[in-house]
Amino acid sequence: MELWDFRNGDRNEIFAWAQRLSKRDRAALNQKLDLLERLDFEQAIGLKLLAGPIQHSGHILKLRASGDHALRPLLCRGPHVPLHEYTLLKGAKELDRKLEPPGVLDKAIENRSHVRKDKERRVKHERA
Amino acid sequence: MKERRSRLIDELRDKEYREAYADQHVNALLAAQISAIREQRGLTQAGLAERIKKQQPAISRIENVNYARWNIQTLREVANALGCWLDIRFQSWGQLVDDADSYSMETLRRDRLEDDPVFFGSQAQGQVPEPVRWMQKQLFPWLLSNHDNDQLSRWLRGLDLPSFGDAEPPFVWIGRAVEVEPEDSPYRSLLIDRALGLFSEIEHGVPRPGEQNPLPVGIFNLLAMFPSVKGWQKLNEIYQDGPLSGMMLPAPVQSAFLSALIRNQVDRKLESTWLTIIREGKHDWLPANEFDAFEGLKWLSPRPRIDAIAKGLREMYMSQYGRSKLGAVKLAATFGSLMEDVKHTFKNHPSLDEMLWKAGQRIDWDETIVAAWVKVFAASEEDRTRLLEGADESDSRLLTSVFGAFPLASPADVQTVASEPELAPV
Repeated sequence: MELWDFRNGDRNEIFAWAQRLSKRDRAALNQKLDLLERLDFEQAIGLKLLAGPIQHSGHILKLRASGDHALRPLLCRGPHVPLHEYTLLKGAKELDRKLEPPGVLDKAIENRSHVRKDKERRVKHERA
Repeated sequence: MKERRSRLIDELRDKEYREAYADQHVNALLAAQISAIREQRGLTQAGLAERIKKQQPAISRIENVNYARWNIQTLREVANALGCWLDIRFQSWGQLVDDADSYSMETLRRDRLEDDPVFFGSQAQGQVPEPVRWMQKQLFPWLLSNHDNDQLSRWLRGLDLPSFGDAEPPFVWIGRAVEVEPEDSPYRSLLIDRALGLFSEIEHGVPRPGEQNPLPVGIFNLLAMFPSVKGWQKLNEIYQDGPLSGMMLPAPVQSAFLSALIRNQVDRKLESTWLTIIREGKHDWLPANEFDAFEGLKWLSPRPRIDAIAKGLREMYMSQYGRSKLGAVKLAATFGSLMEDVKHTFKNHPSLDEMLWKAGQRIDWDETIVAAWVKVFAASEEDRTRLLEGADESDSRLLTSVFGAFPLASPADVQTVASEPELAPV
C-alpha cells in the first residue's frame, strides 16, 4: 500500500505533526505505518491497526499507535486509488476516548475533500 | 524498497528509538502471527478460544497490534492450540531490520506437523514438499512476467518466505522449485537469466555487512545448481578482471563463488589453474584451496581429467604427509577414497571405465607402499601398540584396519627394508 500525506501549501501537515512527537511516539507511529504499508485493508482492520470509518465522517479512519500517548492520526483509503493507497489527513491523539485537538475530525473531512478535488494537495508520505 | 531499509537502519541507530520500535514490532508481530496461523488453520477466534479454555474476547484482545501485556504461559497455550511451538530468543538489531523488511501475513504462517516437510511429504514419498509447491506458485508466474529483479533479491535474502526459510538457505528452495521440473523446462534458463541480471545490478557482488543470507551467496549457489554457458561467461568475467578478482571475500561468498565456477566449466580453461593450486596450495588471484582445485578438476568439461586428479592428489598428499610415519598409509587410504569418489561422481559418465583404468594406473602402488611401511614401522607388537597409543581416533581406525590386513611380519621380513620407502614416481 502506498502512503500519502496531506499538504497545505508547501507544508506537509503530517510530517510537521509527527516531528513534534516524542521519540518513543515517533517510533510507535513509524512502526505502525510500516505495518500499514504491508497489510491489506481487511487485515489492518482485523488486527485493529485501523479503526473506523468514524461515525458520521463517511470515510475517515483512525490509525492506532500507542507510544507515550494514544496516537490516532486520521486517514482515508485512496481517495484516488482506494485499494492501493491511504492518505494521512490530520495528526491526532486520543484522550478519554475523545480525539484531540477538538475539531480534528472535521478538519480531516475537509482535508480529504481538498485532496479529492486536487491531487496536488498531497505528497508521498515523509517519515519523521 | 532499498531506500526504506536504509532509512530504517538510520533510525535504529538511536537507542531510545530502536528500543521503542522493537517493542512495537514484537507486539505487532505476535498479534499478527496468531491471527495469520489461526486463519491458516481455518479457526475462528471463538474456536481458538475454546481450545485454550478462554472466551472469544481474549483472542480478540491478543490479536491487536497494540496489545503489550504478553504472558508466556498464554502464548505457549496458544502455540499448542495452533499446532506449533513457541520460540523465545534474543536477537541482534540487524535481525530487526530484516524482520521489519520482510513482514507480511504470508511469511508469518507456520506449517502443521502433518504439512511439515521435515516430518512428512518428502520427495522420497513421491510428493513435492509443500515449501517447493509454495515456491513454485510464487516463482513461476514471476519468472514469466516482466517484473524487475527485486523480488528475487528479496527471496534470496530470505525475505517474503514462509517458515521453511529457517531450515535451509533460501536459494535451496528456489532451486528445488525449478529442479523438480523436467530437464528442458524453460524455467531453468529463465531463472539463470534473472539471477545473472540481478548480479549485474548489485554493486561489486559484495554482501551487506551482517546480512544473514548475503545476496551474492544465493546467486552463486543458483548458478552452481543450474550450470549454463551464460553462467560460465559471467563467472569468467567476474573472476578474471571483475570485482571479485583477488578480493578477500567473506567465507560463504567465496565458497558459493567457487562452487559456481567449478560447476559451470564448459571448457578446460581453468585446468592449469587448478593444478597450480594443487601444487602450490594457493593462487595469485583465485581464492581457492587444494580441495576446491580437485573439485575443479572433477567437473572439467567435456570430460574430467582423472589423470590430473590422481596426479594432483598424490602430489598434495606427498607434500602434506610425505614425512610423517603415517604418510604412506594415508596416501594409500586417500587413493582408495578417490576411487570411491570417482565411481560415485561419475557413475553415469560414458567414459567411466577408461577413467577408472587411468586412476588404477596411479593407485597400483598403494598396497606395496603400505606393506613396506608396515615392515619398517609396525613390524612388532610393541611398535603397533606404541603407534595406536599415539594415534588420534581417525588414525587409530586406519591403523587397526591396516594391521588387520597385514598380520605381524616375521623377523626376516623386517630386515629386508632398512628405511622408509620412497614413493613411486608418477
